[in-house]
Amino acid sequence: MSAVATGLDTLDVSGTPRVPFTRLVSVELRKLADTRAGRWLLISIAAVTLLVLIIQMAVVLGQGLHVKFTDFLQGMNIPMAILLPVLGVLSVTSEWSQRTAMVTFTLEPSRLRIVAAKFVSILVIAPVALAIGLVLAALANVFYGAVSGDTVVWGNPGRSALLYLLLYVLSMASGFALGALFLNSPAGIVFYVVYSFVLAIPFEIAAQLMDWFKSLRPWIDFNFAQGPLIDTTISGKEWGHLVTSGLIWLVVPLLIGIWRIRRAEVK
Amino acid sequence: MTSAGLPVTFDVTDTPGIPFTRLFKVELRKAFDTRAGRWLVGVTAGIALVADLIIAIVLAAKDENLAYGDLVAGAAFVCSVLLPVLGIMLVTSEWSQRTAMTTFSLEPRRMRIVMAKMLAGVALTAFVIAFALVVGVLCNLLYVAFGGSLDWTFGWSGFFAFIATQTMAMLGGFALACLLLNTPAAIVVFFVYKWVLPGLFAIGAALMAWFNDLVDWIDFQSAQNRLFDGGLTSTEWGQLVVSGVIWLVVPLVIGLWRIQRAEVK
Repeated sequence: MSAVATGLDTLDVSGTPRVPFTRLVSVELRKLADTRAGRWLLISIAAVTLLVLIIQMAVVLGQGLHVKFTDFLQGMNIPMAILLPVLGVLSVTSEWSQRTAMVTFTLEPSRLRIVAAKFVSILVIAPVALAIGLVLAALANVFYGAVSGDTVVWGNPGRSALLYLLLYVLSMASGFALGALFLNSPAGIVFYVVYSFVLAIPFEIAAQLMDWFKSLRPWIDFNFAQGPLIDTTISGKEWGHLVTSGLIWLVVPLLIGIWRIRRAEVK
Repeated sequence: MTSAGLPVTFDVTDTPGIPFTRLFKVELRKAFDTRAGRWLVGVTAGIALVADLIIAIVLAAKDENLAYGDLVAGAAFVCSVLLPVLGIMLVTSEWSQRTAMTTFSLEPRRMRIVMAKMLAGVALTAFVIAFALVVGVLCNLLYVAFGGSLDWTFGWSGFFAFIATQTMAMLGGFALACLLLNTPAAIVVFFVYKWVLPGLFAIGAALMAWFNDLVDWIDFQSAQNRLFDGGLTSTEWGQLVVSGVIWLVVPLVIGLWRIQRAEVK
């Protein structure tokens, strides 16, 4: 009424800089670790990895087996391969199940930037997880050499580390893609574990029964194609298997998922 | 002040308790009248159907023999993957969707709710078993239509083993859900226990003689699978009971205790 507030009836944000991407990434990284679910998941991953290596060590020493560094890598990979993708799924779906999406997308309405920040944050977790796994596996290998008196075999640890980094980036990204595709924690997790652990059985049966499926399988079964990566023996055509099957199980769900997030109603 | 004669206490002594049958019906309805539940039941049935169709068509095309029992086993395999998830969500969705407050206000005796939920899970298992039997019939006829020879061999011991393993799969999920009261955690632990652990057990048994002796007593999955071969020896029954106590009874008891005491938020 009294024209004191002239010029204040609009809120001028044209000079306000947008939220920098680095801040979005650091916020998303924090979200992975500062809730009870996220923190416990990270702690469980480290704890279960340690436990697996201790059991493996007990078996190896008790039986006088001869092992290499890559054997310990495969041991520590078991819990990592199961739990890292779950982290990837939850990083997307918790926004919807905990209903924080409203806040997140209000503060940064450009949803693609949030999705990109989330994706970068899980890609940051991959080398961290790898570092923990590598240190534990290396300690295990040194300890094994010291106790058993066998020669410690390291193989080519640099190459192994790079291949495992790729493996963890792929598994985190797969979880992320399924999370984006379903936008629902149980659905994303169930689909992931069914694909990883259950589907291998019918696939194996089908490959035994049908020759054409046996030759097709590495090209379409992402899990199967990751096998040579875990053995660190991957070469030549096996890279092609990884790419084509990854296209089916990682890129396609990710694209559909991102399209879904852009359009989904935020409740 | 002037409320002359108005009752100041709320007399519910004559109000009957909620009958257990009603609790059971409500819990059964909760299992599939939400989107998550309906999709889960629908997807389970759909994938079982597709799996059997593929088996029937492929085996007919390959001129391989196929009996009714094989088809039921195929459908059962699919159901045994997803049924436990239903068992898990029956319990955990009360906490994740925050309906526990309503549920436990209307029936404060929590154990009755849990029992009703468990029975609802068993009822759904029965439904899925019936569904698998029907799908098996259809696909067996389809197999004949594609040029296979009709074989209704079924095997009653296999059928009882089927019922037992499905029910225990559902109850296994239920027990883990009670223990963890968290959907993602229960699902992950259940799948690890069901699909990853047997492989690790096998490796351990192959490597260590003492573990080889022990593993039969702690591997619930293998103990159940022996039911399919029929005619369990008394040792095998013992192994089933011991491993069942470890994987089913202990988590369930701790879980029930937890539900009894958990804060409802």
